[in-house]
Amino acid sequence: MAPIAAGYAPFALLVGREAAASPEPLAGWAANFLVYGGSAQLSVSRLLTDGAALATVVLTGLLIQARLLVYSASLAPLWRHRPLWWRAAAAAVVIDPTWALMHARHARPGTDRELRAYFVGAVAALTALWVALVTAGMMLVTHIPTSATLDLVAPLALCALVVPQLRDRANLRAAIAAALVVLAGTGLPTGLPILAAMAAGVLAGSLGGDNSRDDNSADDRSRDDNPKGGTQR
Amino acid sequence: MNAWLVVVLVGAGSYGMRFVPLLLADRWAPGPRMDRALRHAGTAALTALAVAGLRAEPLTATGGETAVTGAAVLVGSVAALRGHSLSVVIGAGVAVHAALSILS
Repeated sequence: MAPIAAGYAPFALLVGREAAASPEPLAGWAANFLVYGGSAQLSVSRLLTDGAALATVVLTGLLIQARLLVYSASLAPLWRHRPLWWRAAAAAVVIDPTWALMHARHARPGTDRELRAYFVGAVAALTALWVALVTAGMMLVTHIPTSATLDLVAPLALCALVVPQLRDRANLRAAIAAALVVLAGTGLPTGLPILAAMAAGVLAGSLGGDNSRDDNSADDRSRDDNPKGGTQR
Repeated sequence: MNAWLVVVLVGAGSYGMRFVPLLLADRWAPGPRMDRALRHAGTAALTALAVAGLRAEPLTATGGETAVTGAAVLVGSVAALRGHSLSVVIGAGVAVHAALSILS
């Protein structure tokens, strides 16, 4: 997770810079823990700085975060045997890299204890680095240059998470549909194109039937039924 | 005050969206079809965020900048497809972007 968090560094610095420029920088910093989502934090800070209405800012933030519902629903089968307190704590840190890494890790062999340790280590590293970098961004606000190359880093980090999934044809179709919908959705309120892209991705991914190469559903479920057994693939 | 209210409301909503599926996890299990649909939705969300980030103005302000950005993403994506680490993917993409920006 540390390399991924490092990959997000320029994005975190940018989030920190925008939070520092917002009307309540401390609230922007607290969003690291309460919102825990860079895209939403960035949009909320910018809208607050621009003086947007409260309802607009809240709705935009929630629209951007709506994808987390899907991430959690997708992770739920992997964690259903865990105690409620564990799921309540884990829920606070479900985000894009958490979702991608947990599915990738569950596809490899490992005992339940190893999987749990991987999750805890990953989110601890991600959270610590993210908060540290956003804080640095707030403190170094005047020293952070604006550069197109820096703006490229966050999309590249997302590419690194999503591209390996595209070996699966259904995922490839889902990604192409999502990209087209986002490109066509210019001008829509922030957050809406992402939801539309997710819907299009589900439709496109389902079109060709069940041809997943990396469908681990059955394995995940069998591991859940036998939490201490790990996978035997 | 408004900023704090916004952060608390967005934070509470975000946590609710994260927690509800996990709360119901032991009572509701998605079938294989739903499981795949959720994964496709996740892949689509990551793709949508990446594409939305790439559409940011400094990266696509002119045709030349769009081409430079496209080349950088292509190189990064090839590195990702070949299984390189995130650091390598970002390093390759950023290096291509910086080099082509200087040349163009």
